[in-house]
Amino acid sequence: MNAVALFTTCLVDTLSPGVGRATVRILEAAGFGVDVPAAQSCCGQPAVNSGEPRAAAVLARHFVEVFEPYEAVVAPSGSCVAMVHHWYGQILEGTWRDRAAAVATRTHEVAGFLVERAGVSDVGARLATTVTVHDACHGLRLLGVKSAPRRLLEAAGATVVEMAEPEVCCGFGGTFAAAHGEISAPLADDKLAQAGVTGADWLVAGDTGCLLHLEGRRRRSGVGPPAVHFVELLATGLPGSGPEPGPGPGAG
Amino acid sequence: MTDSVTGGLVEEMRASLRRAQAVVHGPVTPADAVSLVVERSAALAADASVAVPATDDVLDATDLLTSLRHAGLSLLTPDDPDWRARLPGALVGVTGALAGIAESGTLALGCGPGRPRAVSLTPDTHLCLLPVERIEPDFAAAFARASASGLPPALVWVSGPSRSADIEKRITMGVHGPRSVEVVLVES
Amino acid sequence: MASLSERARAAVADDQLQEALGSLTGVLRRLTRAATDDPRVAERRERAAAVRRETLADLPGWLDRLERTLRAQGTTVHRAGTADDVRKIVLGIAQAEGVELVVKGKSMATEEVHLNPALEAAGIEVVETDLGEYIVQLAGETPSHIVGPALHKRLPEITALFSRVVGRDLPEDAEVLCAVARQVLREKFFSAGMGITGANFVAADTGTVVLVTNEGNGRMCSTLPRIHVVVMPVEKVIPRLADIADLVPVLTRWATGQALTTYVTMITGPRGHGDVDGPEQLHVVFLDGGRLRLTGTAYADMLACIRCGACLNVCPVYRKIGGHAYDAVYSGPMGAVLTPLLSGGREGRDLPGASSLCGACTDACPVHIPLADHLVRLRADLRPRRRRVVWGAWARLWARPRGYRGSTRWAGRLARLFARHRASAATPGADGWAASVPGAGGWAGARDVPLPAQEAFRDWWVRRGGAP
Repeated sequence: MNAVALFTTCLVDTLSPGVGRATVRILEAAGFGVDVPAAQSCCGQPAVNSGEPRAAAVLARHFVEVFEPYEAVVAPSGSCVAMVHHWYGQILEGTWRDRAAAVATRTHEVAGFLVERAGVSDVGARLATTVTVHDACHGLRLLGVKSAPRRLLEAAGATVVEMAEPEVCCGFGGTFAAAHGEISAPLADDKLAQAGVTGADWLVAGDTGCLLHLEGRRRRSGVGPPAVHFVELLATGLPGSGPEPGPGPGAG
Repeated sequence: MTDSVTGGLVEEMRASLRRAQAVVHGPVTPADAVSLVVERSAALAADASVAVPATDDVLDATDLLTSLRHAGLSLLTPDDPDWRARLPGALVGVTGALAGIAESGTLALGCGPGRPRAVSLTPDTHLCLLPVERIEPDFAAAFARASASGLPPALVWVSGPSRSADIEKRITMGVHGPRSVEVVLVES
Repeated sequence: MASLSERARAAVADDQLQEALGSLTGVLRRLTRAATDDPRVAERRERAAAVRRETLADLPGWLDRLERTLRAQGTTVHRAGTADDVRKIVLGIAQAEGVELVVKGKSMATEEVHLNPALEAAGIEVVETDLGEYIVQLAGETPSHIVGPALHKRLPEITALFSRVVGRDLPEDAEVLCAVARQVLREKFFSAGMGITGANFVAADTGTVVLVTNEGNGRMCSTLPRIHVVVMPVEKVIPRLADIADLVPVLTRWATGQALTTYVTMITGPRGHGDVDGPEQLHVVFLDGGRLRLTGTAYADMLACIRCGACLNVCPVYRKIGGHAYDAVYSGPMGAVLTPLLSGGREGRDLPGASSLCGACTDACPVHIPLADHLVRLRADLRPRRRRVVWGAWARLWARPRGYRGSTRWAGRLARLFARHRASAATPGADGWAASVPGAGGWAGARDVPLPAQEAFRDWWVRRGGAP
């Protein structure tokens, strides 16, 4: 039996549970059994990015203990998986570092897991919509997540229209979004404007931080299509689906 | 080096020189190269002077300086006691080249005693003779060739005319160095 | 003194700057990307990255070797530990030789040590000869981009500056202005007693100074004046002159997309016996300025930087706020790393935090400096100690399942309770968003705030039948 552990991520757990629900449905539709280790919390990224590696190491060790029993760990977040792959080796030492390296080889971002590891592009979802994709930075640059989300969407029948600069940062950057709103918000404006020009129905991405930042800005500025996680959009196209997705806690 | 390899390099050099905004002549025979340089110098310098080195293996091989003098051109050579004062009056500078880089359209110029740096720098136009067998595919090979007999005090690599894009990114030629570079490729 | 945020806000609101930034960095990014698709270029890049690290293993040793070969060529070598040392050394040479006019090639190192004011205070006229630097000098400003220092200046402004210099109204025409600059600066080149440049690289095996320019001002400064002074930050030393065949094409491709710049000048010693041009005296000043103490640390590879500016061109923050908002000699990602490092944490402390950590800089760097990782490391190194306690407590709380669940549940309740909604909201909070929430900081100024969900994902999972 193909079983995976879901690494929910703290943002999804608390702010966008719809992304978590959609991830479970997509993985199950693709033939995987899903377990959600109850003791999980946070990968520690806020601490690393705030210059607190020792605090982050506490959470990194917890992550390793929680997920090490599983053969495959899947998360709907490029940045959290990138934290495990790229930073755990730098903030942990000795056997913890080795254990973390081992867990990292089994920890995957969801689109990359489905398309590249499992060879599944068609999860059975059917969409008749146009989307434009924002390539979230850490997934793109540290994990190579670029074509996988597009393949999933296109296999479902969605039309993918590229914006002018899909790989440019949306301006979220974690604590940067609040500490430097004067730079962060204009970057969101650029992204939303480019998305708007494509005429797409949806702006999709694979990271909840980016999505909350973009959708939060869109609600104020009125510019651009709604921003949603690609798993949420795909899940609406599965047989027997519920209401339309939306970013944040109001999701279906 | 076979003819076809040289031929390929020559074509690449011509294309790269043009891309670098240099004017390309030839390949021509040494005799034709001399006539060409004399003709261009006369046209560009007219009554002004032509700055030249005292000694340069490419120019010496074709006895170019003699031909320039016979054409009635006023030459500014480094042994002129008023060399520096007369330099601003030289509208053309003529040199040979130690090597060429086909990839980038670059000339390697050796400067030192007898071969002043300013000859290829202060005049409006720099005329340069480059024997085709000295064209190398890339910088590494050209550097090896140009430095084979030791390093001159100044070894200058020139790719077309002087330019700047500092004013609103508009590319303008001849900011400090020559406004125009004309390269005569000389057959062996 | 405006804060970084205030300077950034002003930059974002400056339409003229935004237009200049957008077009310049866009052009440079496109040219660089096109150029770097060539497989030969990729090979050179890897060799360049390796060569830049070769000297870092023993920088003092390489500098000793370089000093020997420079002296053997007749070049005078000076060692400067600090910016003040550089100023004293260069001023000393100028005064000993009765120099009244200095022409300068573009050199970020001379900006770093604030050389011009020191010379001017001693009554020496200093003229910047790189066209962009000349414009910036006339405007009384500092460079805003390490490759294109005047990118923030528009044609009308530049025309006004040049018109003042020549005492007549010039047309707004780039060609005319360049011709004016050529004429004005040429007169300076011919009459200056000293030329000062930086160095892109200096080769230890031959004692050769390498200058890379498009305009020819580097050649002018090193050919016409009697004295040529090179201010060389110590990381510019390279093992072999032949390494230039990889280093310079990589520099030019990544900086401007060019196969090579118009001029690459290799200077070995002052003029030779019988030379009629070239400097009679060639001086090279080694500038440490906080660099040597970086070797052997996690930040050592920052010394591999070749000053191409590619990281500036791809940085979403730099593209948005421009170079002046950094209020530092070096801006963009490399400046955000180098400034606190070279100053021992005294300057630029707020720069590493002004990044979204997108990593585009790390990708763009031709010599593979992990710039984004260095920004994160600096955040740790510059952090006030008292905050560690708070973060440590948070981490230990969240490493306990009950601690994580309890704290998020309570934070969610408080957020929903104290959220402020727009008056126009039909059913406030029903769609999961609020206009603001206490503690949201700078988020709520421009964005709606997502409210924690009534039911966390983990609770839904348990409800659905998953293990608690």
